[in-house]
Amino acid sequence: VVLNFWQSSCIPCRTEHPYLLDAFRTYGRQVAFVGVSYEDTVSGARTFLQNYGGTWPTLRDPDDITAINYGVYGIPETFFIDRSGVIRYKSTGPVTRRVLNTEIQTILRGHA
Amino acid sequence: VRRQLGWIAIVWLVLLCAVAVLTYGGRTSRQSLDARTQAVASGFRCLVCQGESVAESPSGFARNVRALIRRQLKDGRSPDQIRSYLVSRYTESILLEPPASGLGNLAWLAPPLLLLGGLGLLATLVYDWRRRGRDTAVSGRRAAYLARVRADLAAEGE
Repeated sequence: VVLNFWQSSCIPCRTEHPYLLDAFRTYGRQVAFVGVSYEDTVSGARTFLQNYGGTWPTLRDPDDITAINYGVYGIPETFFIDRSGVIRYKSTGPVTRRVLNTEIQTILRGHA
Repeated sequence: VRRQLGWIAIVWLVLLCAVAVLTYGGRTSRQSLDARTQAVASGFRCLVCQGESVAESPSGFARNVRALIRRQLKDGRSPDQIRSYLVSRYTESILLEPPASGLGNLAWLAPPLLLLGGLGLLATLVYDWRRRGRDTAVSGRRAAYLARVRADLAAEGE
């Protein structure tokens, strides 16, 4: 699972978005992509996804319960979770193409 | 007069301790949920702010952590349980006060140890001054006179 916390008004989220789209195109069938809209309005999040693309499920997080549970304090943050549900990597700030590729491949290989 | 001053100092210290216990020790669960939320929240650092606690900050992060604390208190969780939950999510960096373990111990133990050391030093010095005062008081002519008095008394006794 690639779990991405983001907000439509956050500039770094816009920076990382093309890389997420690329990664989704490459790995979307093997890895579940989930976005969590962090302290955002529904309309803001919808407009962002309409403008920039992204067809993976995006969830609302009332009261930041999920975000707090993941220890999120600034966005964007991206978590790479393996098959057994263990967070293998946490990326703070805009996620890069290299991190996406490396970490997705790591969780796909499984951990020896 | 000096002894009276000593008593006044002791009474003063006891009064201070009593006030401290009444102020900080008497916090019961009778307080309102809001007050308890605020009290628990003031122990956490607002991670997205500069030197503000979760209780003070108007940021979204602090607001939501406050809401979480409030919900958990309402569900009957203790402040300690909430603390360990938030530490498990955000590490100890979310605590405003250093933890009483590991290196954090140093921050807690240093002040009382320094105070004890200071008191010890003061006690030693006072003891030393008093002894020296006594020594000088019975030196010289006075000592010779005292010796003569003692000798005379001894002679009288025979």
